[in-house]
Amino acid sequence: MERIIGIDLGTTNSCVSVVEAGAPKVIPNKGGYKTTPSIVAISESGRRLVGQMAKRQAITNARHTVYAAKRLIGRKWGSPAVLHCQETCPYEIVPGPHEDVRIMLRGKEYSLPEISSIILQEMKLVAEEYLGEEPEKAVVTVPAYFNDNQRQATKDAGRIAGLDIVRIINEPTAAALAYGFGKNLDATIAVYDLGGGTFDISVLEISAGVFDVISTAGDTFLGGEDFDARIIEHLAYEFAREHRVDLRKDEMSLQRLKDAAEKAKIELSAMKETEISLPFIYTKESGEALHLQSTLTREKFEELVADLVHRSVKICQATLQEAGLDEEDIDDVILVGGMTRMPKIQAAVAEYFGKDPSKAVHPDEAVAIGAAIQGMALVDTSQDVLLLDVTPHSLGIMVHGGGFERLIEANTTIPTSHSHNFTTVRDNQTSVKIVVFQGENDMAVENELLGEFVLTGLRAAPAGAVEVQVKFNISPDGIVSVAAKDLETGKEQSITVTATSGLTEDEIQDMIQENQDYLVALKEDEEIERERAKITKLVREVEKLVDSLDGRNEGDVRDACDSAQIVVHEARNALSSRDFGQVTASVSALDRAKDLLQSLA
Amino acid sequence: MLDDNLRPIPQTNVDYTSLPINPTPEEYFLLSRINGNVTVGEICQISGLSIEATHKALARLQEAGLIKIPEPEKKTAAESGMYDSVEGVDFGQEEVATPAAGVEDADPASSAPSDSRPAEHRPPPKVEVMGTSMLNPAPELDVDDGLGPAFFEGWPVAFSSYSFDPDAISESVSISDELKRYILFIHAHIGKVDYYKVLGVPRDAGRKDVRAAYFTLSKIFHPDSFYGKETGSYSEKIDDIFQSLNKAHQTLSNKNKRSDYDATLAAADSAPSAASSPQSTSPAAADAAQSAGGGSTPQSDKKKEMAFGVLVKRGEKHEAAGEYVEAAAEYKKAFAIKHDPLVALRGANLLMRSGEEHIGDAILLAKAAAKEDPGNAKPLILIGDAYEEKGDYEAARDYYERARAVEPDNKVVGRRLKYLQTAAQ
Repeated sequence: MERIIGIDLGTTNSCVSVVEAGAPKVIPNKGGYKTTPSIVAISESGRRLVGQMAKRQAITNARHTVYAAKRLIGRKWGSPAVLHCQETCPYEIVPGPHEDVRIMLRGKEYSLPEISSIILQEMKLVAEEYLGEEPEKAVVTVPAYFNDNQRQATKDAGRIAGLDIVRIINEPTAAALAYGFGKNLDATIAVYDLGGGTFDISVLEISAGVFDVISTAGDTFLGGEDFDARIIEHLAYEFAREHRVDLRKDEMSLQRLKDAAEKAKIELSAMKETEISLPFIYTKESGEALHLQSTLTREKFEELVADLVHRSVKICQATLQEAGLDEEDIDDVILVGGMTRMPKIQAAVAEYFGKDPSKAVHPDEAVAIGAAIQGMALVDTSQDVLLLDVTPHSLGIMVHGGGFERLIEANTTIPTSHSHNFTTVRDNQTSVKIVVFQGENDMAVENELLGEFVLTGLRAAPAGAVEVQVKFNISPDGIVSVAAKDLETGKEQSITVTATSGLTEDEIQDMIQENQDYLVALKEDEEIERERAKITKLVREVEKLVDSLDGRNEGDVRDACDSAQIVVHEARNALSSRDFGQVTASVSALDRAKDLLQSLA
Repeated sequence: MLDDNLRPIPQTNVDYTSLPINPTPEEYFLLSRINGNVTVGEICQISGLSIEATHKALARLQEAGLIKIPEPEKKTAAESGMYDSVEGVDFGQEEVATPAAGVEDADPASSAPSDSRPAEHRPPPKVEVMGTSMLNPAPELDVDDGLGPAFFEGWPVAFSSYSFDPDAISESVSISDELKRYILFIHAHIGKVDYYKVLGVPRDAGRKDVRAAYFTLSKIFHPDSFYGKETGSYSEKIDDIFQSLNKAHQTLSNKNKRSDYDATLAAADSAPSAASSPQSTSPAAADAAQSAGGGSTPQSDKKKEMAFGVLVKRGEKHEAAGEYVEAAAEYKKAFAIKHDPLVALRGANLLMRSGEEHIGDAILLAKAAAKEDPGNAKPLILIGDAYEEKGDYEAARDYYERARAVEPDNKVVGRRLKYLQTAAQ
């Protein structure tokens, strides 16, 4: 049976899992870690670095190291999320050709799907090394509150990486799958998912192998990064008070602060207080070196982030209300995401739901495991698992006066569709424009613009005579598509999609090609590198032989030594060459010279 | 030639993996119609095949050990079972559970066909989904769980008397024939039943029951259950069914929405258009119609005539109200009792006007009419129109040609043929 891997493409960390013989397994990376940092960097020599490698060099290469790319994926240029990142991120964010966002690394613009594709490729590689074969298909998770643009961009990332994303599922839903798989549960559960960058809450009913999402909500700008930011601000403020220097203005200092803040946050989950020590964090113009030395207590930290915790509980409240449930109706609360290790969060969740949260799933691994289970459920019909997920946002169109008319309400089970009839308003009108939005605001423009669809080629007729039925469809991935047909003729009507922030098909094709080119070049580089190592070794050996024959005066020995020296000289030139043929030729010439010298010795 | 009044009996406990011969899709289709009640004559009506071909198919099914065609002298015994109902007439209690199909979970001895058992000793009449356990050569889904015998109670047409489009049944997709029928049947009627029937739960069902029913049906009809499978024309139907399930569940699982919906239902129930509901039918007429299939005694002939009259009247009422599909269903039932080609043609005409999804039914009914009245060009023209509508111009031409053979001077036929010819060029 074909195998579908599950990938949790997280804001800070990613994780890959596969179901083997009915049991889900998280696959460790080469370093032995079950999660891989979602960090991509481009080195000075143009090499792509991913994961732990990228994280390690982030301090010295901050401008060309992308972290938390997930916060930007599918976002529009100028949106609050992007403005926020522009202020806080050391890498350069530039506008793309269609109101989208690009990141400038080493003089080259990268789209967000490209950055994510590099991470996906790494996770694919982790799985490949474990499975012994290249996985072709994957289920990838996204925050439940992701909108259509963000989901579409994630799918694009899969295509660029050469990975067929057969399904996109929501992270809390995946965690619920990991929690309930094989347990034969009959329960109502809440999944509280506070990850590196996003917060999601989902309420599900589980029964007879069916996982039915009743309601879901979230905040795509509430996560561990925000908790870190509070510590950074606190440290920077204290430092500024003492030294009149804003550390955040200095790239290197900021990166060190970030690392220290994250470490302190993690330590405070286990300890009551932690020491933060950053020697030589800043050098004044006078040459005086400044050091940061501070103690952070858990109490202080909780005070710094109290409003963030409160915000998440507020969203929980709204979700339960939407589901028509009371706190008592929830049988179990599952915590997912690294941030839920924070004692204050566990306490806040316990207080709100009136019960201690379950510790049954691993907060870092549950989502990937759930994705793998969904992958298996799709291909293995003997498995009694069915996911009934919902769309997190209402889908609608702009109507006269800029109002927003909802066609599909939030929390509708997907896949779903809605047909809406449009009529012409002018005589001989040949096109109709439909502007589609996702969101909850009554004013269309306040919501997320998904795209403008233009129905063209309508037949010429008096006003009102042409009636076109437009079908809005939300796939099981939560991705929106639109189809139209003329009601009278039954003819499919062509639709042109404009004004979306997504990549065009041509761009995606180019990126796929570029990615493949990069991989080929990378492989060539590695091969050349191996040949070069051979040259270095052979040159040493040949020189040694020439030295040992130095005293001998026979003509053929002298000739051999002379020609060997020429070969060595050429080999040294070949070392700096990128021409694979020249390098290998040099290797064989050295081999022959070595053999000849050896026979004479 | 088989006697038209024989009633073939489906055989249980058949090992489908080792049949002596491999039945064709058409034969499997026929098998699904066979419930021990329908006569050979009726099977010929609904098969969509010629009488000769139908007889041949029945013989092959018998050869395969899937059915047993009783000897003529057993007729009376078989008939006693028919006294409870008429094929396809729904008066609240649609189908009698035949011993063969109804008690498959009992011990083998009692589950053997026992058509000689007196009627009054039988279990109370229940809706029985025919072929549920019979027609699943490669079970992929446990459909029985969700679509048990009681599921289609109160649906506008009995599952067992629905004429499936043979083209759809024979479509080569990776869906079992049994599931194909469920999909076709549910898709054709789901818009006409209330949310309770959509989920197959009683009106007083609790939230948990509603959820359980929704979950069970979702497992069958969620598009994910067909992931990676070839579903062809069924794909859209499956999507539609799943959405209907969603709508029903969303309404019935929400207290406020459900009480609003209940109020609408109550209003609709008390409206005059409810004349067609089983309760409002006069008991005498119901009795007459119910027992009409009894056979050929003079008394039963009279009853048959009465039932026919009742059904036609009901059809007319629907027709007057503009409910063409419902009207056609009544005409079809009437035709099953008395093979009056005019009634079939009338039904087919209405179905033609009821949208794309009914064209298949219209063709079947018109073919039945054409068979009864071969000298009439009208059914043939109607079939031609229907195929033209479906885009099958070759079949359309074929039927127009046949109509021309019957009525060479018919101008309509001439025009249609000419049109098709130019369209082809």
